[in-house]
Amino acid sequence: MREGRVSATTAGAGVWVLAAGALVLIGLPLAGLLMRAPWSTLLHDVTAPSALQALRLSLACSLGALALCLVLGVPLAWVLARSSVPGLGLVRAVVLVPMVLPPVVGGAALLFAFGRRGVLPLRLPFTTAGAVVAEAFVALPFLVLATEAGLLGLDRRYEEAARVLGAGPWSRFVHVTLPQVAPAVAAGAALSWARALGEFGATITFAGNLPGRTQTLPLAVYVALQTDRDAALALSVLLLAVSVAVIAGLRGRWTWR
Amino acid sequence: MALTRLLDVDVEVQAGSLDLRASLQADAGDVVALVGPNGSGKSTLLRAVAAQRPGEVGLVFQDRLLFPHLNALDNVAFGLRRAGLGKSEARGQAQGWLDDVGVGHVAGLRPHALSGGQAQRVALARALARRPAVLLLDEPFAGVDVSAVADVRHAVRTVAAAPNRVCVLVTHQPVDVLALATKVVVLEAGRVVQAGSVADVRNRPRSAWSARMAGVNLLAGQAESGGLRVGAVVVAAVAAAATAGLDGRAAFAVFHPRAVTLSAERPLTSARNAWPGQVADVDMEGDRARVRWVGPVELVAEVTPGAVAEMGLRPGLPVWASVKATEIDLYPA
Amino acid sequence: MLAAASLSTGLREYAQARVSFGGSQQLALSVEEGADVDVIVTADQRTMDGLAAHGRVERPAVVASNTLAIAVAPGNPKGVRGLADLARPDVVVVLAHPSVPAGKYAADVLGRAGVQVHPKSLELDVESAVQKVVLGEADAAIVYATDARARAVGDVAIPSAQNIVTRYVAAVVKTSSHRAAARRYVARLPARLRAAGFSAPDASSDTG
Repeated sequence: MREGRVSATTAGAGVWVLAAGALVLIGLPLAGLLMRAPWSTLLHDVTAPSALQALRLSLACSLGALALCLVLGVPLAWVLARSSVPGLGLVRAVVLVPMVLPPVVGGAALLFAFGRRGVLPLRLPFTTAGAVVAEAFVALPFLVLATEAGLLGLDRRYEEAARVLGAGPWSRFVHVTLPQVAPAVAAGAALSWARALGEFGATITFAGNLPGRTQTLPLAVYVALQTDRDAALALSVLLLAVSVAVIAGLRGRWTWR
Repeated sequence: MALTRLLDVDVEVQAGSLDLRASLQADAGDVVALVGPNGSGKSTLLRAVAAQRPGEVGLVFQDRLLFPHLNALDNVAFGLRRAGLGKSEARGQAQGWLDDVGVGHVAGLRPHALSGGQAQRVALARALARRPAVLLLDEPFAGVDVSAVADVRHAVRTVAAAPNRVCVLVTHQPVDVLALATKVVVLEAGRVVQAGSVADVRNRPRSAWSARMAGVNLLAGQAESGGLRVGAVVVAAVAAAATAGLDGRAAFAVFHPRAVTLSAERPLTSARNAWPGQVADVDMEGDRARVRWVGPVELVAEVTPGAVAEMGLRPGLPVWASVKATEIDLYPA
Repeated sequence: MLAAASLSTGLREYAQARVSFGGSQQLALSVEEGADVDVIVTADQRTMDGLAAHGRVERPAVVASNTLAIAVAPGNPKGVRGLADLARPDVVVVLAHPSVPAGKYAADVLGRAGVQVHPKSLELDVESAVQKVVLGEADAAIVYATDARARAVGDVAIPSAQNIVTRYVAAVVKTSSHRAAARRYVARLPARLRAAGFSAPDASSDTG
């Protein structure tokens, strides 16, 4: 780690310039948003009942989506990393599709799958559960990718050691594999949670837009943008603050070294 | 005392270039040194034995493999928990095992905070915790700081020889074999080439590798009356009793490097085995020098540093080597 | 050129202009933020008035009118006959959000008819509301009559007494670099939209 730092600080000026460019690309729009934010009415706007309702719903949906991603994504990552079933390369490609698919198309695809006339009609559209599923759909690849990479980086002999000590397959997974891959899972969870929190296109297409039920914060921002731009900017700042706080809070945790 | 056979396994493993087909037997109280060249399959053999009986065999891996996310105490408690013990009971016992091997004070530390010697003993405690009838140690002194080897060796010695246990120890160090083992199994290229008591293997090695470990010269050939044919020469051996009935059969001749005399001229002594050749290499070891010599046969001679200086021994120097027939032991292959 | 989503049935084919469709408010925001646009067509007067008041556009002109209808799922499985049926709990209704003109008009129409509807979703533009009916997720949506007719869905007329006449307003954006051409384009819009099934700019609800 230390060697890495040293070589980074002694890297050529070009690296610094490019890094600064990246920061400008991300930071400048953010700064623009903050500069235009209506600070005098901000507190009033973000504590409005409709804003709090959207925030609550957003947190609930994104956390629900994260839970769904963890429950389904970690086992999927394990299968991708560990099994040798033929066609796994195709599965891996399919898992990545939600990352490249325009979210609106993803939402439509979800309708074809789980809509009223879908392959598996679950009556999800226009429900909060539908919003959770839409968010999980776009967020899942982040968790699976990070977890699979973590699993591939593990020394499998620890599992052999556990087996020698009498641990069965499930026990090995829970007590040895999972704790060791936890940092990777946590990193993936932070990414997929952030993706779920900001989700817009798939949610609006699949779950619709109804305050208190499916109108998450990004949707509320979009609606507010059409009527009350200051409120929209205030809500955006709120969304920004929540995500930055959580991700910054997560960093550095979950490591045992 | 009736012997209880605690270990009796046959192992077949194909892994890459390794074709391992070996069996291991040991009785209660045995400490078996499993030796052999690198890549001969020693570690694979241990792991295969452990895999055959999960939970019943204690294995200390070569690089220990302590779980990095658990502290020393919970590493040791791991197997006990899997055996169904409650958390506090398992931890209590684990602390006892750590104390037994002298590292009770590091119970709360994670593996990355342990020294090599401490980690090795924690791994030992972890392997012992379920009171296995078979304890397998894969190079327990590798990666241990020189200053800590004595502590670890003491811990291993304490636990290795137990009346109701078998301990199998992979090692490269002849000193470990002598200090710890009661039996030796020599593995080469996936096959057991020799198994027996320590004295057996030292006095009558059956492979070039075992001979090198025992520190003796070993020649392989065909027994003839009064000696052993090795290529173009016949090595005379007086151990007549040993040669009786061996004629025409494959046999080994073994002799100590100290039994080899080097001289600039053809020796005038009674030695029947005298060949011209040249020095291949000179290796100084404290108050002795080991000289590798190549002639009709290859051998190692042990001489004094004084002799090296006096004769001007150096690689390429033509010298005669002679061995008294009485110093050579001959036995069937 | 930016155009209200409901005009897509009428303007899609006109290749001379590159047209972006969207909710009227969203379009107005783009113009406010200085998007490189020549012409904007909104689905209501109010949005355009806002732009005119800020001096963003030249004098607006009404280019077409439209009315509302109920778009129903193919075959009208829920048997929707009029606005009153939209209050039935077994009918899944989606509306456009009141912040876009179609949503505001729909709310007006429902209010005038005295019908209390619990929509399942307030879509962000009228096109999305139509889409939900096309895909079969919703049983009914109140949309522009042109949309309901043009798409492969059933349409149930709303009696003119309850209906509303909506007007499309076009204007040349002041920052346009082709203002003369843009003006000619706007002048031709009424005839084009008429041909595409929209009502004349001065139509009353009777002709809708």
